[in-house]
Amino acid sequence: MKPTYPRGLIALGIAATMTLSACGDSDEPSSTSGGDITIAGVLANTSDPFLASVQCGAAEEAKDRGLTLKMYTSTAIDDNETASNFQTATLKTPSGIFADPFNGQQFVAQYKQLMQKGVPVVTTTGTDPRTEYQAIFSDYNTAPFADEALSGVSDGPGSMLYMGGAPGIPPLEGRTLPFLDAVAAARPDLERLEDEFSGFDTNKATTDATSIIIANKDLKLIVVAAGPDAAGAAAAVKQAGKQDDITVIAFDAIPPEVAALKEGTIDVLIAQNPFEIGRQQVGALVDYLDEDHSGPVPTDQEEIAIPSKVLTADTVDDAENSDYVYKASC
Amino acid sequence: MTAGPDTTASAPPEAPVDDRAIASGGLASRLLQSRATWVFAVNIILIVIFTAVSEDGVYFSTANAQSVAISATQALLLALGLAMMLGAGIFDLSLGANLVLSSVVGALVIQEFQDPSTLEYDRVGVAVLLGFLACVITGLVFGLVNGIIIAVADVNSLIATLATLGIGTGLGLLLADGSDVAGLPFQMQESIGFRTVLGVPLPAAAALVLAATFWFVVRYTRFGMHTEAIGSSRASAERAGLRVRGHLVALTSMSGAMAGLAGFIDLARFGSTALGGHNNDALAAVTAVVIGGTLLQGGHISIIGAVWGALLAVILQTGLVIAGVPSFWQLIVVGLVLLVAVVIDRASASRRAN
Repeated sequence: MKPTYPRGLIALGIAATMTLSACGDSDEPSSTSGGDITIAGVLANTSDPFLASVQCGAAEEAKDRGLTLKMYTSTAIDDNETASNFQTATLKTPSGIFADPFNGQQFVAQYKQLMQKGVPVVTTTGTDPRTEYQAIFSDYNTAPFADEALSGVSDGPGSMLYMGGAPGIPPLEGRTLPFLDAVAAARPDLERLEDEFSGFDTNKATTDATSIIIANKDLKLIVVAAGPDAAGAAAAVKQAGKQDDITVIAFDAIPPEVAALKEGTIDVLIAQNPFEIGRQQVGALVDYLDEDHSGPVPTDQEEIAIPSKVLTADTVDDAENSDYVYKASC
Repeated sequence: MTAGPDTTASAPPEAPVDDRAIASGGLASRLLQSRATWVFAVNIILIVIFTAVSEDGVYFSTANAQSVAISATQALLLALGLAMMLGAGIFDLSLGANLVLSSVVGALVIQEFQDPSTLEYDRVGVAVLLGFLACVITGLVFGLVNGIIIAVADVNSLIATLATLGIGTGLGLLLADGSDVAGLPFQMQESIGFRTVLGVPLPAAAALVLAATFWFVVRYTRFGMHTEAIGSSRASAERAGLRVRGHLVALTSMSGAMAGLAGFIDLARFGSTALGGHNNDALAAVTAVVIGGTLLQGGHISIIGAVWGALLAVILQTGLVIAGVPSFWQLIVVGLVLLVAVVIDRASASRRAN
């Protein structure tokens, strides 16, 4: 989002001032103390615009319902930092907690303890077996998007590449693998090359994609699981001058991906709705707490899957898609 | 009268002459004794292997050479600055954070020239020039702060730069609102990031010019000699009258400016910042520098070795991808080859010592 104040020319000079002012600034979601309910949110990495947007949705829902929202966040993919934040959140005895750790099973024991004490817990990652009150996450069924997303891929045999970001992240694989299966079914003539994993490193993703493009002249499709890799794939395709030959389909909609979509180096984005996820997480907790339960919190609520959406250069700016475009801050 | 002492009998045994600083043998012999030569040889061997195993020998192509060059550029820029710092016996863990912060400041400066309503850029050339200056100056100031902490406050360089690593990363995230600054003018990519000069990518050409400059400084100037002297023995350098503190601040500032330049290359390649892509930059730079022959403990700098060292990692990575080696195996092979490169070097060093 374009700032309304002149950050650039004075950026360095005001850096220290911003450091101080940020403590009480709008980086933390607005919260009210209109009710007795205090909700705690534990997010793993708010430098990821997806989670920053979850935070925005949660903050708006909290504001609408007149309750207090306390956020406990870090800026790195570090399970230890997330654990520390979760511990801090529970020390403040909140009425309910929503948590989005990268490792979905990380807090199973804590969830059980909290739920036994009557504190509902909502997650986006889900646990197995179920230990939270409710899991609210993006719909994993991305297969139906394949036909629309593949419409720009030229007919005839060729090869395709999957850039998976980092291996072993269930929510990420949960969304991307069904799509890849659908692509394989729809276009069996596209040979899938060895998957590449950059570890969310844009530089490595660019180098890998460039090498693949050089080595495979019949490359027609790159499917990218996450934003940093998408930025790398877009740069590689542009550098090779192959925008007309290679279709890039990327998951998520972080600012560099949206810029590349508008520029034409990414053809399709499959975006989640993090804002709605944040809203519904807080909403589910408050709905439960408003019912004035006593005793342990049950775990039999149905999971809620928030649908994703296909964005193209023509549709990304539509008003109904604004919640699907991830925002760095509210 | 007794006879005087027999000086002949009591003379100490003749001490061996320390001839380590004296070049021995001809040019070929000296080259073979250089670690940079061995790393260069490993690079050539790898290129031959990857060319042989790649389909139609595509590894040995202009497109791939350009890809390798541009991919190694940032690592080389960081390695050049770090080689000078290591030569003086100090370290910098904050290079990646410096790069990120510099790129964010540069991107924000460029964005000031964007029309908020149309998102079009006004005076792109001026915007990019100011963005470039902002990147380099930010990097330089970051390095200057490092230098003051290390040299003036006398804080261990590892600890000092570990602290500024966190501060720099945090400032970068604050200024960028926690997310990559995107939507920079596409002309940056076309006229800088993807541009070639005589077939060499412009950023890589600039890095090579800087490498040549650094090589000259180390080899032929008093500044280079003083740097290695400080790394050999800081106490001796101070006793000899060198202005060690000022020299260290100059080195960290220079290294910081190189990180700032690398940050600008991010903007020129991707049209956005890459906040998440530089966590391992400092380690990659150390690897390149040390494999190239610069001593971790200071006292010796090999700029040519740093160039080959920076290229080694990229040659490996691109070669393995082009050869279709699965991603997880790539990590193992990269580790093994780096290990082999160092073992070969240690073996040659041991032979020289004997």
